[in-house]
Amino acid sequence: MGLVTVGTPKPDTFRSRDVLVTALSYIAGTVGAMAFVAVLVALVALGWQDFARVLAVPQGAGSALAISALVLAIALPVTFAIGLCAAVCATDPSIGGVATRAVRESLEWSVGIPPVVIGVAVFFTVVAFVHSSVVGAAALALIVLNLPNATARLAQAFSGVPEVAREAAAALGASSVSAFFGLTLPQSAWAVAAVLCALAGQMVGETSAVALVVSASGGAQPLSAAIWHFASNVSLAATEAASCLVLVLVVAACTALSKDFSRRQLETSATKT
Amino acid sequence: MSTQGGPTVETKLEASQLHVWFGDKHALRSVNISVVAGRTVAFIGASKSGKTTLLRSFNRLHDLNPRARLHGSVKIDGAEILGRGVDVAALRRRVGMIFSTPTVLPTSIFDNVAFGLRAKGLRDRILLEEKVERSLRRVLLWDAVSALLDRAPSDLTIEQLQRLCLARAMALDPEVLLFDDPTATLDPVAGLAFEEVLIPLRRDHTVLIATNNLEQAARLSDTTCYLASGEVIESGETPLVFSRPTDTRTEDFLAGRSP
Repeated sequence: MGLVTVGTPKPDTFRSRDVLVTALSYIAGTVGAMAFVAVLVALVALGWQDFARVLAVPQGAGSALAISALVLAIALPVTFAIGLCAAVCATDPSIGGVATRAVRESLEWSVGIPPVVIGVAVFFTVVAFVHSSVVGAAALALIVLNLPNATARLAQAFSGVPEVAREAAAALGASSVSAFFGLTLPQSAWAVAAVLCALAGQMVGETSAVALVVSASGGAQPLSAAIWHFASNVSLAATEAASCLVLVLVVAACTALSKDFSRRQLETSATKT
Repeated sequence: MSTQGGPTVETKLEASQLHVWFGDKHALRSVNISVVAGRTVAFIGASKSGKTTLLRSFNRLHDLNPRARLHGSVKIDGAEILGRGVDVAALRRRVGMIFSTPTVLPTSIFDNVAFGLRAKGLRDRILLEEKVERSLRRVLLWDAVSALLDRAPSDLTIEQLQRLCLARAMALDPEVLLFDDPTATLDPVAGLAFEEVLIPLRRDHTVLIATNNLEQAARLSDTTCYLASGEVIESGETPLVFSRPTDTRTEDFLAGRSP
């Protein structure tokens, strides 16, 4: 019987640093691209003067898009960074103690309270007492709104790293920091990227909810109200429709990227197993 | 070695009045042992008798378990290691540990062996390569993996994976090696092959091995210590413990009789 070759051997080489660098590149690129595209589309649709005007005096779907881009640029990195630290506290057994208990308790409490309630409370508190700008208050509201979800999902991503691997790293004298960057993050890099993209999509969508609150305080109208309000105005309808489409496309792109990163994480985990 | 008396001049490890709790469970009860440098000690006993708990006390791996509480004293070279001011990372580099299942890290073979060195702060690639090669040679794995260093260790056999874990610990030049039932997942032939690697390492290290394999304990150890329900029941020179145990509970365990 002759030798039968089926397919070509799949190379098994991988380096954790390569995976980490690739995932981080995707993360940075995705966030940057989303913010850039959103701002660019808003600029093209409105022109610089109108863009500046809608930020100063929020009005219509165009302003919702512009505010979404700016709020996302502020809220996403902050939420991600805080959520990352909190998730490490919640999952790293070597930290333990008060920090771990505090994060876990907070997560459990946050489940019972609708995040939008906290977000609205934060928004009005900031506007009323700190006299912050609408964008700043909206960004802070979004951060508070999304932090529990981001922390929980990142903690879930990190908990995919086997406990025995953490113990093995600790037994080799790895500190919490070196174990995180040398083991936990490389192994969960795609899952973290997926969380980030899902978070970005969710935030883009939720800026509309925040805009509803802004409109209640006399600022911008919510996206849905803006569409209704401007639907009869033919000259503005095309711009509004285009803005809405971009918003929907951005959310869809975030979701698609998140799903792709989740698939990559599963593939990577399967390869390592 | 003295296992129930006071420390000797050559004492490497010493535990005095050591108690360990996991929540309400009292896992170790007033354990007193001392281990002379360069000796190999086997801990035998039924499951949940406290063998692994005792081993983990020597490298403070219980720190990872928020439910664990330790009381008493554990010393290495006469220095207390349970205190707050102890550099736990440095301690764990001095006291290497090999687990019952091969716990390879999800990275390449080279990065597995270099992990502890990098965590220690070593960045020089040439030095890393030298140390990785030396470690893999010491566990007789170099010839098998020298061409596969950048690959995941998934193609290695379980016995080779366990040797890789040993190489990873050896890369840090530990003074003490803790083996937590290292051949539990290996078939008898692979288990004996792993023991062949372990035998020469005993000359340069103080070795503590927790095992459920009585023949392995008899083959490898100078001293055997029998634990039951978290207590040290009997300890002494291995031939004596196996041939003339002084406690009936030890005798029953060695004979396979239920207590």
